[in-house]
Amino acid sequence: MNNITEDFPANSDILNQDEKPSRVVNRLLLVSIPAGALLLYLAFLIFLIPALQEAAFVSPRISAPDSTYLTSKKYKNELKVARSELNILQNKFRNLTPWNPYLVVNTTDNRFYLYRNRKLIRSGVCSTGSYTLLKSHDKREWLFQTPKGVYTIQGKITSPVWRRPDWSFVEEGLPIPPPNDLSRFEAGVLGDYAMPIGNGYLIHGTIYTRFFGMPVTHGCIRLKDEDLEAAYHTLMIGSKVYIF
Amino acid sequence: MNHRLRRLMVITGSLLLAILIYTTYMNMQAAVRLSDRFCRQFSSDTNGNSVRKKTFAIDPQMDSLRKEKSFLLNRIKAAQSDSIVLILDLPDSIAQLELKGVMLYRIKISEIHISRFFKTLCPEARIGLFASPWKIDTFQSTIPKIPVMVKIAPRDTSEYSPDIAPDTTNRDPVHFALETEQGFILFFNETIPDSLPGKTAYHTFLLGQKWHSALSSLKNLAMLKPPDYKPFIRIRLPRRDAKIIFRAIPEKALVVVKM
Repeated sequence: MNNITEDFPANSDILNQDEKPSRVVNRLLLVSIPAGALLLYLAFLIFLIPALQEAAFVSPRISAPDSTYLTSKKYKNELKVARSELNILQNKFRNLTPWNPYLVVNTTDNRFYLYRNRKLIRSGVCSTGSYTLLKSHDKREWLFQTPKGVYTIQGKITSPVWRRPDWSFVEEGLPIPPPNDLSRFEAGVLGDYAMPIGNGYLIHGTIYTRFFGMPVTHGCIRLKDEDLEAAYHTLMIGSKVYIF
Repeated sequence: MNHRLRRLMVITGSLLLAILIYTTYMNMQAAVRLSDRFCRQFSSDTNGNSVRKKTFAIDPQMDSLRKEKSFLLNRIKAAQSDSIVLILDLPDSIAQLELKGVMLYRIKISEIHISRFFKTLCPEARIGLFASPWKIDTFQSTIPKIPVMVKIAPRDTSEYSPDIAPDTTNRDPVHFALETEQGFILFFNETIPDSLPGKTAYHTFLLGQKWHSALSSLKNLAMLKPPDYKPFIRIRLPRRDAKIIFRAIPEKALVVVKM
């Protein structure tokens, strides 16, 4: 008996030491059970609910029409009308594609496709807008982007001379000359031909041939010399240029 | 385990179960209700008969002609706009860009996954839904729509450095989601590359989308409102093609779908 009473304080210490970690575990559980439940619920909402929603749909009841109707004159007539309507629509849609030559330009891939009589006659690499936003120190801005949409060849120029716009000087850190200053005019940099498509944008050649297939221009469409020549001789004033 | 802890577990468990049942019921109801709403909207039955009790007589030949007609009519309608239109011919697995009716770019779709919502719609709603082009309302993507690079002009010629060749390698993963005005979502995912970063990017985008929808669901459920259900079409295609589509179409693009 004495032994027990003597042992008791020591045993009590051991019990207290054991209780401490279990209390910590209990507290942890108190927090982690609701948190775990919340996580479980979120996972359910994110992963399982979409699958359950998909499973909720029931297919409608569908049957074949009455066989007597399918063999009737009325049905055959309806089918004939539907087919002829479809033919008319198909022709109408086909006629939206021009027979005249046209050019398609892919600005993401920097490729061009030249069509004549609705057939692809030439394709290759080109260069389009760089998407550079040039900011000058006097708060002027230019975005060098090739516009998307449908444009029209508005003219055909041989041996074009480039009239340098303001941004061309700003970009090189040069002072901007007066509008008709001689320093604005440069010959030979646009290749042998140029075709304006509106709003100051041109299809032209270049001396920077290593940039073909890359978005490097100020918005114009640059073609290789041989492609430019083919496009120049194929496209007419009024031909469409589709840019996407 | 003490008594307090056991009680907490029982309460949390029961609460979780109740919420799970409520969430499941409400979400499934939302999906079915949306389907019913479209069926009722396009139904010719004015007597108010339930669409689910009806049996539809469909002649496959006439149905296919009708679908083709509707598809062509929509393309003609979309060609009247000045914008680039996205054409999705799902039975033939083709995605196409058109401008004024002229085909600009054609892509073979690698994989299509369509929500059962579209497959189980009543025939009248299926015709009605595809009777006009869909208009994109919002979009989310892993790449920017316009990849603008800002360049500060040099102060003088001494600061000027000529342009170097840009980095045109397609390194960024391309995933985007277009939401139409009717609340349909068109997911475009590049074919998942074998690389770990590629897989991570795909799953991060997917999780982001699911998280977004779960959060909106949660908000509605908390206010005892039925959650939103957004039917989807998931399209997988090569990265280059996905990028071309995303960059080509305008923000509020028209989409013509054949299903």
